[in-house]
Amino acid sequence: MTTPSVVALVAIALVGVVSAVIGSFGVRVARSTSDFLVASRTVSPIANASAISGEYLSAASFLGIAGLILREGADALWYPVAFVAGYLALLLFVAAPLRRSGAYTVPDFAEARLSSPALRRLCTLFVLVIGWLYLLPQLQGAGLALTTLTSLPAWSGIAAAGVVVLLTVVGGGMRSITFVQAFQYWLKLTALAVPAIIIVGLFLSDARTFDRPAPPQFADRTTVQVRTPVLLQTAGPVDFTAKGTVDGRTVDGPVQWAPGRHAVAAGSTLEFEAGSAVPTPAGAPTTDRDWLAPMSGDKGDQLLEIYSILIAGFLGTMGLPHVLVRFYTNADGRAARRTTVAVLAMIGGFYVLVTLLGALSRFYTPQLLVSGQTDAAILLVPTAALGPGWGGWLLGGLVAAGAAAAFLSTSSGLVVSLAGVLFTDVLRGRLQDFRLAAVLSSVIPLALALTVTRLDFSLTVPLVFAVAASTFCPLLVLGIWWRGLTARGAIAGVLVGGVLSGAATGLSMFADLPDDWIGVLLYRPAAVTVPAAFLAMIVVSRLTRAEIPVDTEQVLLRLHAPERLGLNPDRVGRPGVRDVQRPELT
Amino acid sequence: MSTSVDGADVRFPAEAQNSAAPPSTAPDPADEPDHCDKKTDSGSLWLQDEIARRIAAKSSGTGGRHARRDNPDPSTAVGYVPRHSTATPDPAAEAPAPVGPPRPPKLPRRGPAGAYGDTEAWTGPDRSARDRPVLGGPSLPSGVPAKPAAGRTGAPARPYGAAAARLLSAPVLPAPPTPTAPPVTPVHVTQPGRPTPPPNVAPPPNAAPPPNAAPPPNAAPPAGAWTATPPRPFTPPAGTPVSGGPPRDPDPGPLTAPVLDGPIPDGPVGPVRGGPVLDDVDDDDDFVPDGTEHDEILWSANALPPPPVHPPPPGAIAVPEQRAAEMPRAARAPRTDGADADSPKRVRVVLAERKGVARPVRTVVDIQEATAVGALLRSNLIGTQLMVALRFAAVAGVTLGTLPLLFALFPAIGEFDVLGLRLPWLLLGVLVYPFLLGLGWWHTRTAERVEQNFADHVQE
Repeated sequence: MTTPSVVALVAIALVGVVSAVIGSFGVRVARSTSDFLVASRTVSPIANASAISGEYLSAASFLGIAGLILREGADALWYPVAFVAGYLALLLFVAAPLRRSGAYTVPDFAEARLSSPALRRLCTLFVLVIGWLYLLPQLQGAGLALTTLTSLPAWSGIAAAGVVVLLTVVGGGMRSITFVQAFQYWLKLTALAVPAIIIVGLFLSDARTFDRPAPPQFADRTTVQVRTPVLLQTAGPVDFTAKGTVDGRTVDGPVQWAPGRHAVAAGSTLEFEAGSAVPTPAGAPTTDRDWLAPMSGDKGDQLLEIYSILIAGFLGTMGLPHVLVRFYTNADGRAARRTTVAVLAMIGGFYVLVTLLGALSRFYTPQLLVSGQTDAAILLVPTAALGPGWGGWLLGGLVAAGAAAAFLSTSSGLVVSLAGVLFTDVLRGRLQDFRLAAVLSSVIPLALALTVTRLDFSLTVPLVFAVAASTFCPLLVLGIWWRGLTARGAIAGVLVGGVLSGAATGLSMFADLPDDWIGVLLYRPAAVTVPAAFLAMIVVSRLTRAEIPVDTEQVLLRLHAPERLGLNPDRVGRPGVRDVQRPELT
Repeated sequence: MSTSVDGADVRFPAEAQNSAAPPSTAPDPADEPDHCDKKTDSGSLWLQDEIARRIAAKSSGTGGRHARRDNPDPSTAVGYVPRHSTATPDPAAEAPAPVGPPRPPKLPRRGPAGAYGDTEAWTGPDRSARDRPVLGGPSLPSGVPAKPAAGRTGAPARPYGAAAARLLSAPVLPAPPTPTAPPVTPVHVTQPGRPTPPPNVAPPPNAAPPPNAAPPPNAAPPAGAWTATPPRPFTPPAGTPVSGGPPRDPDPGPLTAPVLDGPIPDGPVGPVRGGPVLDDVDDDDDFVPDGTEHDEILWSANALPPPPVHPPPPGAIAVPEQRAAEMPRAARAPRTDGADADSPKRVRVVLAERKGVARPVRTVVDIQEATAVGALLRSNLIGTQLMVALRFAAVAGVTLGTLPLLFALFPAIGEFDVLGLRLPWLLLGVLVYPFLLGLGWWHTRTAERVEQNFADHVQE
């Protein structure tokens, strides 16, 4: 094992150990189920915002965004914008009322608002679907990171991540998770800020620029291992040495590619000379100048795709189970708002750094465009920019630690919230059951992650956001702001949005999609499924307006009235909310 | 409060359980439990002391007393504690101070009360149990441990109350005395007329109820309680002689006696305050009324008529305290009756708490109820907040939504260099985040101001 691999492994192990230590401190404080599930609502806005940011900035954000930027250029900037804008929507429409509802999860909210057990079960189902769908890329990201950094098999990374997450959650519950995740946010920020500052300095001292009408170039003689089949395109003739299957022929020797598209099978090895042009993935901008300009790819319906991403991110964030549960740990609705504003600042700063590193990776790690492993860009940039030596290795170790923090924090947050739902809705019990629920909620995605082929973050994550935006967003927004919502309308809307987006997700992950607008709508379904869900919810609610719950006015008032009036469910006994859901050990 | 408690007791069993649990109990219970425990503990000690004293003091009454003690202590302490805790704890905290001083004077009265208590054995135990928790805390400090113990014992008596009461009329009486004592004082002071009625009412209950009540513990207790109250007034004469006999009576008696002295002056004031506290849930409406009622109640406490009606529910003696909290309005009349002995003490304690809680509730209630004004305020708040949110969402949506369109329609935008960065990269990679942050911060300020205005408006 090489030195950089050892450094990276040590860094990742350190993150795990420190997280466990912080978590175990939390255990001493966690004395009740309330502590366990919602940290007894005693977390300050800044700490809570750090935890929310730490939880939200997943491996997809830490690794995936940079990889997307490396490949797509300016058009990829819409992804982080959509993810941050999602918190604005959360702030505008959901944060304070959701906190005041006293609901811990979407099923809690659904029941409190509409008193429908059927709706509650439906929401529970979709919470599990969304959570597991989102856990899948996180765990596989851990495998990717370990493989990229140390050449260990992917399953070892997946399994290790699963075990650490489980230990953290089972050991400490929500309070320790809060501190762990706050720590992990700052670790991730550091792991980006330090390399970004150093590499920007290097870049500025270099005379190179992106503004040139040619593809990126290999700076040195580079060998690329292709582990998954890739389709590449070149703008000019490219000479290289290949061993494996290229364009359907078995090759072992020099190859020349004419401009156009070329397929490389998995298991091939390509060797490029220094200064040769880098083939880019088909559909992505080929030259640096195109890469720099927006709307430059040759994929059709790009505008539709961008709008769909914006809708999914803007409206999907509020439906993510691990995001919602965080708001319940705020002291009150006011703190929930302030927390959200702090989160906007924190994740905004994070994405600026990610964008910067992603752009720079086009210079330093262009070989990832050939191998298709663009998600590994951030991990490799430090060593590529600084060259072999302790500087690059240590910086690489720091980035590896940040990546480990990224998938650990999101995964443990997801597992806590899923376990919370399993615990309150499916298992019904006390502390031991929560641990059992945590095991259940992490074992299933772990098994999936070990058996399913890894897909790009840029494919899977927007799909998860689309499902969340098509199911829970209409329920939350209409439930909080519209008196006319009925249980049947809500069920109809969630079903319509969930089935449509779920079908699109399945097709995107397991089928070849056509290259036209239908294909775009299948793997970026939010532009259609979200309006459909809203429409179904509103129409069915109007048709069943006789079933509007009688206590709607009171419930809405509690959602919106400031706490000082003493109306919120923490103080007023309220039949709608079942406190049994969150038993307190007294 | 105390009065209401007694009256409530009768009704409470049925109602208390239904309504009691949901309303205010939930929020405050946590605190109360502790109090209860403390009280209980002190109570047990007292009980033991009392038992020892009683045994030494009297032989005839002892047997009956002993029976009560054994049963009551365990049963009451365990079973009732929780229920009482809600109402009692608070009162107990405050009650102690007042109770302490009054007790001494009460002691003499206790005797009489105890005498009456015999007929009212039922109520005596119940009340004593209830009161004891509250009183017990105070009484201990005051230095009249024996009395509190007696009260507790009386409470336990309840279960056996029926039988025990019959057999041990003397012991039974003691318990009632506690409650009675207060009534008695009121009678002396202000309520000549009222006292009379109670007596009238009481006599029947005493005569009939005791026997009847005895067989069916649940039913009997309430009846006994009511009857006890009336009897007390009557008993005082007889009770006085009796008082010497039963030590336990002294306990209740002392308590009540102080109450009488204190109550008359303080009673009215204290009760009012205390009443509200107990009524956490409905505080708003009842506050003032309660206060007035309490005053009246003290005197009218003897107004047995209402209690008799309620007797059926009495099953749960402990209820009284809870009732106070939960069923302020309904139980008030009864409370006053029952409160006689207990009300003064409890009232004081409660007062402090309620003040804090009551204010917000009142204003809120208007909004919550289905009045035109309430509906207007509600829709105004929600509508305003929705418009604010939509406005900010529109700003963000239009800004972000037009950018892709602009980039697509005018590719030249992508060629602009600003600050060394291409315009799209500057906009989407950097500036969009401060923009979103600024919107969020601005919205938070706006939304908080809307809430502030709403709250100010409502609370005016």
